Amino acid sequence: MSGEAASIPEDLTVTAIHEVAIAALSGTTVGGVTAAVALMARSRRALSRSHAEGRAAAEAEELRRNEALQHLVNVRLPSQALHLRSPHYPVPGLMDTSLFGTEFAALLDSLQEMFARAVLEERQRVDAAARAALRGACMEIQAKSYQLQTDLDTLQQTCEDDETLQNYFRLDHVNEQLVRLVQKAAIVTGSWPGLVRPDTHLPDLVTGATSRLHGFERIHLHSKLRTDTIGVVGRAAEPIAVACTELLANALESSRADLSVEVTLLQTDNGAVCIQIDDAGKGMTTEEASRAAQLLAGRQQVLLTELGDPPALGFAAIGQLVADHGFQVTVDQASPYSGVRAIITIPPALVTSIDPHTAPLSAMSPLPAPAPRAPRRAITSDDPGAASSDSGALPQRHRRGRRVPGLEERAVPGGRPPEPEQARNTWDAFEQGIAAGRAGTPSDIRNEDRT
Amino acid sequence: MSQGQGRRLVPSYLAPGGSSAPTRNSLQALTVLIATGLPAKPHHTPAQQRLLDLTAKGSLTVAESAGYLRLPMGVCKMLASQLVDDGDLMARTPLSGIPDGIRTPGAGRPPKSLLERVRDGLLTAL
Repeated sequence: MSGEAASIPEDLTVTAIHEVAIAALSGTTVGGVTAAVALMARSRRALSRSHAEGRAAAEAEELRRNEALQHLVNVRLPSQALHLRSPHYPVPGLMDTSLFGTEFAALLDSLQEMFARAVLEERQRVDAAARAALRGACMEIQAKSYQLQTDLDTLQQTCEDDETLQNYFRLDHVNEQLVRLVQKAAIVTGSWPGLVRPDTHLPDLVTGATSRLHGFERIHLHSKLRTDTIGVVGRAAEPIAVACTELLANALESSRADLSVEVTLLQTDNGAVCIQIDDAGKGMTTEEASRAAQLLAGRQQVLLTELGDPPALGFAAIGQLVADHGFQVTVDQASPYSGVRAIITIPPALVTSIDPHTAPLSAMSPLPAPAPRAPRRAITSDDPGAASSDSGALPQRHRRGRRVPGLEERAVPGGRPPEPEQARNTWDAFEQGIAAGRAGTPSDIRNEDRT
Repeated sequence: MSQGQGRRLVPSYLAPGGSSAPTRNSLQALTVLIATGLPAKPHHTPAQQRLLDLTAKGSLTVAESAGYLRLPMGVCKMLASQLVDDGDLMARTPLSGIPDGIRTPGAGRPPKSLLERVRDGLLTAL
């Protein structure tokens, strides 16, 4: 019975009390009373024994809980904080497996979660405050630098002395670099690029981007655009210029000071336009490339604390602009010169057409590529044998071509705009021709029908 | 910062090639530039190539070139000086017949009264 009492003390107590009560009720004899007293004494012993065992179990339980709590405070929470800073730190769980699934373990877990949430929220709050402070400072500096830019530009317009002009150029270039640094930081901290441009020629945009960098002389710009009408819509002009500047800066920084950076402007078949930047530098490691791809995707708000010290803002700024304006940037290819090939793809929605007569290209932007032309053989003489007989080489057969009058004149690149007199005559003839063609044709009637 | 409609994009310091200062400073606004026919060299900037293209079909003054290229006069002078140094352009002062030593800017220009008499004569003749 005592063995049973140890395992189920409550039942035993109840049974003992029951027995005592029965004995007392029915106990009219001395023998009955003594039996009842003996019963009560036995049950009290069993009771105290079971209490002692229960206390020991509770103490053990409390010890386990204390240990789990200490483990939480000393190990789990610090690792959780480290894990939030850098995900490769592991976060250990419960140390004592006997507590698995208990209410206490669940409480500890929820405490850890709450801690993690609080740390994250506080980090966001502090970072947002830091971003706001930096943003405010940057935007003010940017505004002042633009003011300086205007002043320096005005001085250059009237300056006639070469030496003074060179000095202005140097100051202007330093100021442009300053604008770039400040603008980049402002964009990373959530600002807009700081100015809106009108629709801008793409070659001008890329040329402008090169001017903001130290060592722009190393950048060689080639335009393979077929026409000089390709522009970028105003709202995306400055963002693309900033993205291009940052990629060019990376290309210049990652390649040696005597190596050039080749930039090519290309048209694609689907109406998009690409800016392709090839450097001959060391290239990127796999980690750098994956980090860059993550930042360039521009899906999340970047924390300043995640950008390192000193913070690497370039890719983060591009990521923000990509997310806001919808062009694409990739840096995952290798350039033909063993470095990185960065490509900015401007989708057709951001490409526009600009009339080069009303808004001509800047004199500093690259000359447009000559249109592909069927190769023409120069014809020096009507007699194909004459040239070969002079040089003494083997006779060669030449195809007799037809000379198109005026073709040589047109082949001269650039050239001066036509004379006003000639232009007026051409237009007169053109308009007269149109008027003559319209007279007496039923086109007017058709137009009326349509309206 | 929102006054960006007219904000400059391409600065003038991209126009002259390299950092080498031109050796001569004698070009004036009315100096005539004549192409020597040499082709543009690889180190020439697009602005210099455009200036060569402009002068390829005839002579132009520095002022006119600056107008066509939409560059400040000083910048265009610098470009022209570099191209003259490279041998791609020849510079001819607009007024001939006066020795170099005594010429000062504006000197040797016909007096205003003479120009007025010429104008009047032309007007009566027409």
